[in-house]
Amino acid sequence: MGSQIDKLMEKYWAGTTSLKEEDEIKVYFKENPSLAPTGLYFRSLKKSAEVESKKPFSTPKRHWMRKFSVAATLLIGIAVGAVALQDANKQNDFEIDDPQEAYEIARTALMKMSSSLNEGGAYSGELKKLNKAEQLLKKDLKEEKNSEEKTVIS
Amino acid sequence: MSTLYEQNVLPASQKMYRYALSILKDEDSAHDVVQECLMKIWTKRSKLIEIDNHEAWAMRITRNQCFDWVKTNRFTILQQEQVEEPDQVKADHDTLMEDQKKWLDKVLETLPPKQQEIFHLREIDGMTYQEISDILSLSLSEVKVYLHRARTKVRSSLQKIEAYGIAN
Repeated sequence: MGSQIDKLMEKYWAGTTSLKEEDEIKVYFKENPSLAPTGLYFRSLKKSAEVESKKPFSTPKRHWMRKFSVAATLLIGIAVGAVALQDANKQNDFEIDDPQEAYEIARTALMKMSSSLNEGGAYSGELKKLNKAEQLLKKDLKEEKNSEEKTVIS
Repeated sequence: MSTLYEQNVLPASQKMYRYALSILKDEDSAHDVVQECLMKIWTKRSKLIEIDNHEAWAMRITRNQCFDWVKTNRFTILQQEQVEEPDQVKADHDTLMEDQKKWLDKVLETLPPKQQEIFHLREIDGMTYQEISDILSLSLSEVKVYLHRARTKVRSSLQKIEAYGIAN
């Protein structure tokens, strides 16, 4: 041990060293590892100063972030709701408040539907003719088949 | 204000943990106490600007929280100590160092609580006399006297080991 470290040690045990001087002693024993009890004592102090919690500390910042994420979710929900409401309002543009106007529109629509049905009725006569022709064809085919069977037997 | 918290309080969290551990002697309890302290300081962060030494203030809060914790969980501490007491045989490389640490813990246990705290704050956490006097509400001369007594006790134990190879 050098004379300088001896002097520092004396000051240390007397309780008159500064923090800087105490650090010098610790560094000295770290750089000159001795198995003497004094050396081990200073190294164990240094080792104790390195003890850390195995579990991390959750910082309140994270709690703040959690609150922020809840607020953000709410904001997104409100935004989506607002857009949906706007769409619903757009559909309401087609609503008719005046009963007279509504009646006219409904009447026109029913008239259009009725004329279309009438147009369809005009074709019903032709459809009947087609059905009759089909029945006649079926009858002819049946008779032909019967006469062929009779010739085979005879 | 939150910057002061991040710059001066958060970096001291491990120091707070070591201090809590030196008082409570239980890792989980020390962690819980420090976590509570951090939350407490966070809620009072508007006051940080009025405080000169945030680290010493945080250590003082840690100390108070530890003693509150001891009051409310005394029975639990005793139970945990009983569970952890059996020999934890560590087949570690640095056995000598471990032995030395055990010896130091044993010597410190013989000191009065205030001397133990002052020794820890100075030797382990490297705090100034002024900071220690702020944390413990003692005068500077009281801090110096207590530290001197603690070191004298440690030295005499070391001298016994050097002379006879025995502790105490």
